[in-house]
Amino acid sequence: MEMKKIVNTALAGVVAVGLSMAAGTALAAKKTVEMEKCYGVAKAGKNDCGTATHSCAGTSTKDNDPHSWLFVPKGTCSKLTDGSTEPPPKS
Amino acid sequence: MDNNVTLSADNIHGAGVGLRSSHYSYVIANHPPVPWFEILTDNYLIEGGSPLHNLMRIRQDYPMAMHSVGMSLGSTDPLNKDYLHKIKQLADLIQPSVISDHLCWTSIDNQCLHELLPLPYTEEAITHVVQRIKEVQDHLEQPILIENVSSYLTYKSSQINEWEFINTIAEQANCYILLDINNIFVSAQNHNFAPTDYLQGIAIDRVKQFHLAGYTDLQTHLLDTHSDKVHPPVWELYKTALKRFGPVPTLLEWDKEIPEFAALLQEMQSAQHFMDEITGAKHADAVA
Amino acid sequence: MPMPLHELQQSFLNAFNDDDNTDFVDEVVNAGTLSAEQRLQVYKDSITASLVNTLAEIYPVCLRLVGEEYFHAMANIYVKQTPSYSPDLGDYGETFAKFIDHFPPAQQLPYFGDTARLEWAWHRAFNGPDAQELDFTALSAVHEKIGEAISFTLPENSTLLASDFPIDRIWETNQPNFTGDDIVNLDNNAVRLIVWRKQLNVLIEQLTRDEWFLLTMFANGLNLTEVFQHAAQHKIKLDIVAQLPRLAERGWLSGFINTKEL
Repeated sequence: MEMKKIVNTALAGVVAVGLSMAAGTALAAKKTVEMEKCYGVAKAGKNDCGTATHSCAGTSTKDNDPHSWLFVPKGTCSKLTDGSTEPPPKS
Repeated sequence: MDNNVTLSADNIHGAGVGLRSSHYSYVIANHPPVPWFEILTDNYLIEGGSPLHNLMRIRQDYPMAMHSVGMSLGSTDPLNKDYLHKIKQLADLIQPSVISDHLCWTSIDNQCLHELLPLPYTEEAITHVVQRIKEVQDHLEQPILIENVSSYLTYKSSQINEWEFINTIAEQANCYILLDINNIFVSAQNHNFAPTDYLQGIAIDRVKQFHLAGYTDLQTHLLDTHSDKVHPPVWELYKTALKRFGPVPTLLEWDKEIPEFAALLQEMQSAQHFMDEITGAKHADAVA
Repeated sequence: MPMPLHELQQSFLNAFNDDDNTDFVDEVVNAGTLSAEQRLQVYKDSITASLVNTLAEIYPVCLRLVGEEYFHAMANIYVKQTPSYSPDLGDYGETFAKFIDHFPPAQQLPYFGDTARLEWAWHRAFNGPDAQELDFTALSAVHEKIGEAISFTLPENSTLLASDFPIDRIWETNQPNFTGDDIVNLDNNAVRLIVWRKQLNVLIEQLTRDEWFLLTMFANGLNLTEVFQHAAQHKIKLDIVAQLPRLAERGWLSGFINTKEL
C-alpha cells in the first residue's frame, strides 16, 4: 500500500500543477513577445533549394572512397578539447 | 472530374513573388505591396511548427498559389496517395487560388530523385500522364496547372515538340498550363530551338500563370538555378508572351542566393510594368 | 520500337545508382554543345548536389565542425549509398548519424555522430506536430482510481538523447549568432537531453538522472507500478512525489494512458 500512497501523492502533485497553470492562463497571453521571436527563425524549407531548381555539382565526385580519404577537418572541431591530449596545433 | 469545376485563378492578378522562409519576418512586419504569393507546397506538408504558423499568418493578408515538386506526374510508379492527401489537407486549410506541379517525373521504383526529369514526347507518355493528371484532379477536386521544366537532354524516341506535348496533355486531361518563361528560354538554348515557336504553339486559353526566374550560364549550357535576376533575353520573351497570352498572373521565383525582399519587389515591379505597358491592363481591369 | 517509359525511367535509375549509363545514354539525343553522356551527368550531379545540400541544411553544426570540404566529401559518400524514399527532402538524412559512427575517417571525432543525432532531433522537433498539453482535468478525474496503472506519453515531437559528450554545448557554440567562450571541454561532460518544441520554440534541455530515468520509462510504455518496481530492483532512490509534478510543469508529459485498458 506504501506504493499506492506515494503514487497518489505524486499524481495529486501533477494535478496541482495543472491547477496552478490554469490560474496562470491570463499571464500566458503575455508570452506573445517570446512567440514573436520565432518569426525570426529562418530555417530554410528543404524543398526551396532542392527539387525546384537545378544544382551545379559541388565537390568533385572523385576521391570519395573513404579508403583513400584526403580530407582533414578544418572546422570548429579544433575548439573541442580533451584533457588527455595536447591542444591541437595551430595550423 | 466535372468539367464545370472551375479554377479560382481569378483571385490572383498581376505580378507576385515566391514566399521563402528567409522573408517571413519581413513580410509579417512590413506587409509589402505584393498582390499574391506562391508557396512551395512541399515545405508545409508537415504537422506543425513555425513554418506553418507563419504561412497561416501571411495567408490572412494575401491570396496564395500552391506549387509543388513531388507529384511525379510522369513516373510509371503508382501515384503517391499519401502525398496527394497531404496536399489536399493543406489546400483545404489555405484555399489556394491555384495548385500546380511540373510536367516531368521525379521518382521511380519508389526512389525519389528530387529532380525534374524530362519525359520523352511520345504517345505512350501522353496517354500515361493524362490519366495521372485526371486522377490527381479527382483527388484534389479541382483542376491543376502543369509547368514546363528546364531540360538538359531530349530523347531519340520523341515524336513531337515539347510544346505540342504539353498542349495535347493539357487539352486531354482538361488541366491548365503554368508557362515558365525562363524554362522555355533555358531549354531553347540547351536544345537549339526558337523560344518564340514554343509560345506560338501553346493554346492561349490554357495558360493561367507565368513563372520568371534567373538562370546560370555555364557556357556549354544554361542551368535553371533561380539564383539571379531575370536575364534580359527572358524579359524579351516575357514581353512576347504577354502580347500573345495577355495579362497572365506572373510569379517571380528566387531560391538560391536569395536577396533582400526589396530586390524581389523590384523584379516583381518590372514584371508588373511590362504587363501594364503591353497588355494595357491595370489590376482592376484584369478581373473582367 | 522506342523503349517503354517504365524501362527508360529504370535505366536512368541504374545510371544514377550504379553508374550503369549505357542503356539510358543510348536513348538520349547526342547533339549540340554537350554529349548525351554529359547531358546525363548534368542530372546525376544535380541530384547528388541537392541531397548533399539538404544534409548541409539539416546538419549545419556538423558542417561547421569539420568544414565545407570535409563535410561535402563525406556527404557525397552517404548520398551514394542512401537513396531517398520520401518526396519531402526534409525526411532525408535520418541515418546520417549512424553513418558517421561507422565512417572510418571520422573516428578521430568521437562526438561527431551524437552531434548529428542532436541536429536530427532538432530538425524533427522543428517540423513535427505541436506538443499537446497534458489533460489535467481528465487526470484529476481518474488518478485516485487507476493511479498505479497510469503511464505518461512524451510530446510527439520530442527525442531523448544521451551522449558521453557535451553535445548541447557543442551545438550552442556552433550557432551562427553565438558569442562568448567557444572552447568546449569534452572531458567528464556526459549529458542527458530532451529535444522538443514548446509552441514555436525548439528546446534542448538537460535532464537530471531522475528525470531521464522517469522519461525513458514512460517512453517505453511502463506504468507507475512498473517504474516503482524497476527503481527498487536497481536500487535507484527516486523521489517520485517531487519528480513527477516537475516533469508535468516542464511540459514533458503531454498525455497519460491507463495501461490496464490496453
